[in-house]
Amino acid sequence: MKISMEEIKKEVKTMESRELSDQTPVLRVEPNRLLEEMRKLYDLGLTHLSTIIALQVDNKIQIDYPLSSPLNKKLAPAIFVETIVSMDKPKISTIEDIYPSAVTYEREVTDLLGVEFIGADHRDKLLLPDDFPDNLYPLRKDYTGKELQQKLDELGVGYNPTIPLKEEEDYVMAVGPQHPTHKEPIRFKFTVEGEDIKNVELRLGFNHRGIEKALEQGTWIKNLYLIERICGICSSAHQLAYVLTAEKVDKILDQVPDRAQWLRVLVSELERIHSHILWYGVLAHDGGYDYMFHITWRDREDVMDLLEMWTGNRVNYAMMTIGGVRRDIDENLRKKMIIKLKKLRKNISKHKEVMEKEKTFLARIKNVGYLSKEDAIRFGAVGPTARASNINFDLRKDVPYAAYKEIPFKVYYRSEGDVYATMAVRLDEALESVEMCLYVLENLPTGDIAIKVKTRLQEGEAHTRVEAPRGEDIHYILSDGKNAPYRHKVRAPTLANITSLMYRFKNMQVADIPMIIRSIDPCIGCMERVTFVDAKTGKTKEISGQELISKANRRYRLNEKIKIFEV
Amino acid sequence: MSDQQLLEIVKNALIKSPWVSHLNCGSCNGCDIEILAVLTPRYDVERFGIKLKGSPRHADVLLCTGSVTRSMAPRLKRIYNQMADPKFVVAVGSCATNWGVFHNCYNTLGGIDKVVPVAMYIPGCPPRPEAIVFGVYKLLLKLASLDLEKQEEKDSVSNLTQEPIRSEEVTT
Ligand code: SF4
Repeated sequence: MKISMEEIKKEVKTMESRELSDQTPVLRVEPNRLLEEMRKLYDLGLTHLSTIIALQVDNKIQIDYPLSSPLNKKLAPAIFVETIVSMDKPKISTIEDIYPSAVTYEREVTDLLGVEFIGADHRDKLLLPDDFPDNLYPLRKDYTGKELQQKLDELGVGYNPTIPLKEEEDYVMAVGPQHPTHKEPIRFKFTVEGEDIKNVELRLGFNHRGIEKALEQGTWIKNLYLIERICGICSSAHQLAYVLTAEKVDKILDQVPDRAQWLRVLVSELERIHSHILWYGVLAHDGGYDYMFHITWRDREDVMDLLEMWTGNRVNYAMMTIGGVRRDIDENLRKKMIIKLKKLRKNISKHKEVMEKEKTFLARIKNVGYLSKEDAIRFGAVGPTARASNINFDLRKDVPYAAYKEIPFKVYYRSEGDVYATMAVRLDEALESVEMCLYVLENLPTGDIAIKVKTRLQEGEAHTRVEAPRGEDIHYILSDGKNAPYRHKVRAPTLANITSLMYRFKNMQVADIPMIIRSIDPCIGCMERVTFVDAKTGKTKEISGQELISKANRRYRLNEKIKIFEV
Repeated sequence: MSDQQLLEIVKNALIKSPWVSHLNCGSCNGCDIEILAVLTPRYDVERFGIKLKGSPRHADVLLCTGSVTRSMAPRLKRIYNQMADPKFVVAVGSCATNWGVFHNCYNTLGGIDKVVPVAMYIPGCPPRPEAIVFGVYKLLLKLASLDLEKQEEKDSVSNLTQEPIRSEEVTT
C-alpha cells in the first residue's frame, strides 16, 4: 500500500506545521525527537534526503531536511522536516544511521554554521581550508561577506605557502586537461591490500569559493550570473532552479508565458546533450579508447554550435531571467536548428552503436563498480546514477517543472547497476533529449518570452528541484523582501552521488578506480594524486591520476599486474 | 657543444613544441571544458606541437583557470615551484585574469597573479577556444623574440610579466 502525504502528516508528532510559498509542507519537530521522527518517516517510504538546509534566523539556527521518495510517486514532491536549535553551542543528533548520505551534508553544516552533530565520529573539515580559523562560521550573520573577506585577509588564510599541509593530504590538483569535467579538485585516499581496495576516504573543498554567502550581497538580477557560474557544465540547470524558485517566492510562476517555459526546456535539453556527450567521451578516454573520445567530442561541437547560434555563448548561456527567458528564436534559426539536430541524432546513434558493442571497451566497464537498487536508495543516489541502478525516477517526469508536463518523453533506466549501465542510460537519454528538442522546436507556442518583474521580490520561502544532467539539483531561497536573498542554499547533484560512489569501490580493484570515479560523472576535480595505504604495513604512497590511468590500461591490455607497493 | 648552442636548442624546442599542463584553481569548469575542446578535432592544437601533460613537472606552460581559492593557493604555489625553468603561466578566463564574477566570494583570493607571476592573460567567460589558441600563439611569439643569453641572467618569468600580453581583441 502506498501511503499519501496526508497520512504522513498524521503520523508525525509536530510542534506546528506550516507551508512554504510553494505549498511544500513543513513539519516542525522538537530537536530531541528528531531522530525518532526521521526513522518513522524513513520507514514510511521517505527514503531520499535531498540535502540539509541550515540558516540563522535571529538568534537561532533553523535546520531543514527535505525528504522525498523515489519509489512512491505520491511522495515524489519534497516535504520539509524542520527543527530549531539555539545559537550558542548548537547541537543536534546526527541522522547518518538512517540516511548515510547525511554525512556529507552534516559536515557541510558544521563547517559553515558550526552546528555540532551528536553521535557522529570525529569529523575533519570538509569544505573550508585547513588553516581556516576554528570558531568562524561563514554563513552566520555575524559578518557580511565583505567583512569576512577582510578578516580572512588579515589572518592570512591561504596566503601562507608554508602552512603544514598534512602529510598525505597536500599536493592535490585537478587532473590534467583530459579531465576538465571537474568542478573541484577532490582527494581520495585508498587503503589497498595487493590490488584490492579496502577503504576510501575523501576530502573536498579545494574549489569552495563561498558563493552562497556572496549571493546574499548581490541583487536578484546580479545573482543570475553568479548562479550559473557555480558550474559551467550545468549552468542553465542551476539558473533554471534559481529562477523557478524566485518566481515561486514572488508568486508569479503562473504568469510566466508558455513560450518562455518551452524555451527553458529547450536550453536545458541542449545542455543535457552536450553534457552527456562530454561524459561518455571522457569515459572512453579513461578506458584507453581515445579514438572514440575524439569522435564524440568532434560531434559535440554541433551542440555547442547550436547553443552559440541561439544564445551567443558556448558555455554559460545566460538564458534564464526571473519571469521568462532572454532570447527568442526566429523562423530562420528554428529551421537551422532542426537541421543540426537531425545530424546530431544520427551521430549519437552511431556512438551508441559503437560504444555498446566494442568488446575491449566493454570489458572495462561491465560488472565494474556495481551498485544495487537497495544501496542506491539507501545512499541517496540521484540522476543517471540512480537510474542505472533500476530506479525509475526522473524529476522531469515525477515532479514536472517548466514545460516538461506538455512534452512527451521516455525515462530510461536499467537494472545492471554497473558503469556500463550508467553509460547506456546516458546514451539513451542524449538521444531522447534530441527528440525532445525537435518536439519543442516543432510545437513551440507563440507569445511573449518574458514578463516584467520588480527588482525586489516578496517575502517568502521556496525550493525547487530540477533534473540537471547529473541528477537532482536543489535550490532553496528565503527572501525577507529586500533586494537580495536572506539565504540561498544550493546543493549540486555530485555531492549527492559521492556517498554511493564511495560504496562502489568496495571489493573492486585498483585498475577500476578511474572508471568508477567517472561513473557518477563527477563535476569535481578528480585525483591528480591518489594516495594508497598498504593495509598490512600502513605504508602510504602517492601516484598521479595520469599514471593510474595508464597502469589500469596496461592491466587490461597486457594483463600486467599493478604493483603499488614493492613486495 | 657550447652553452650557447644548447640554449638555442632549448629555445627552439620550446617554441616548436610547448607542453602544457592544466590546473583548476577554483573555476566553474566553463574554462576547463573549453581547454579540452581546444585539444579535440575541431581546434586540434596538437598540430602546433602543443601537447597536454598530466604532470606539471613535464610542462613548460601552466594553464590556470579560476580565481584562486584559499585552499588552492598554497598548492598552486607548490605546483609552480615544481615546474622546470623556463616556465610560463597563462591565466585562462576572466576570473583567472582578474577575479571576475567571484569577487564577492570570501574563500577566493583573486586572479592567478596574486599567487604566481603570469605571462599571459586570456579574458573571456569562458574565452572561446579560438581565443585560447590565439593566446598561446601570442605567447609563442613572445618566446621566439626572447634573447636567451640575457634571459639566463634575468629571470625569464619576471621579465615577461612586466609587460603582459592580452589577447582581448579576439574576444571583444
Ligand atoms: S572565466 Fe567564467 S567560465 Fe571561466 S572559470 Fe571563470 S567563471 Fe567559469
